[in-house]
Amino acid sequence: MKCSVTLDKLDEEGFTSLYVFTFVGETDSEYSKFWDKFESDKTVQWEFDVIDRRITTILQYGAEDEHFRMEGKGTKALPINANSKLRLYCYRIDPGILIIGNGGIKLKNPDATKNKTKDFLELYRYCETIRVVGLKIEELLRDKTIGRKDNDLLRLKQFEINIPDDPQS
Amino acid sequence: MIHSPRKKRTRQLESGVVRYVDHSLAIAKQINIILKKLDKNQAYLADKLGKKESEISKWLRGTHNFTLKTISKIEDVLGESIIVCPKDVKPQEVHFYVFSEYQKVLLKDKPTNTVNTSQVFQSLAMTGNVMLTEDCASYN
Repeated sequence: MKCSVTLDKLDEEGFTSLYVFTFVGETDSEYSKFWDKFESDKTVQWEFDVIDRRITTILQYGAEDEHFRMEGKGTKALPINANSKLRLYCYRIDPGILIIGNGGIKLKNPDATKNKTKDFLELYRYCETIRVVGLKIEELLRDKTIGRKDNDLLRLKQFEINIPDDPQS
Repeated sequence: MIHSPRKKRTRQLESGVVRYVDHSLAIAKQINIILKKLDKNQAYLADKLGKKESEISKWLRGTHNFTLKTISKIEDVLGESIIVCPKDVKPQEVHFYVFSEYQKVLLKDKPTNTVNTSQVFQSLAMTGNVMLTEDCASYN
């Protein structure tokens, strides 16, 4: 599925700049959607706050690999704790630049994965999307469409990505 | 830079989260510092603790929820404390500058009322934490 996104700087502090992406035509970034959905969800309040605090730490000390849970193919997630239900998907360009996307509650029930429930597919989509966005940014940095000065990405424009189709159920 | 939802929180962080995240990171960092100081690596720690190196690697990411038992075992292997409780910490050193026995005493650079410095020293000496030198007394 082809779609266009914009990338914006959300925050910076110390060693890292935080970027979020927004689908063209939408007002909220994917991260804002995650925030709005889970900030007041009492079932995952602790996990949500741990993710938020971890982002603060990353901003202060750098987006080192050790902060993230590896989700494969370059995608990472917060928090790293294996027993956390809540996941926020990220793509780390390097310690100085982190892109954060959307996330949700990861079901541990193997049937959920096997039967590809709505929640499973939603998380799969978030995970794939951040990966595609991250790879695209790396590509645009390589061909110098996007510039970089320290931890700032320069000449950011709307760009097109191709999100893989959902796995067949 | 766009508006960050992180800056419009509708509630405070859950109590304890900040400490939990920061302690997890600090403990892992401290272990890494000691390992570096001893010129040892994660493989060494894994071997001494009878664990796989991959597990030690996970522990040292700064997110592991260490038990006191594990921390104690690591401290034992490293021969050094990883966590220090406040009661183990020496209070900040305060100097009492003495101009003469019955003149002013400076405490943290703020002049106090004129006091009998002998009495001050006697009181401090009773705590056993006083060291008298020629021109000053250090309270440890």
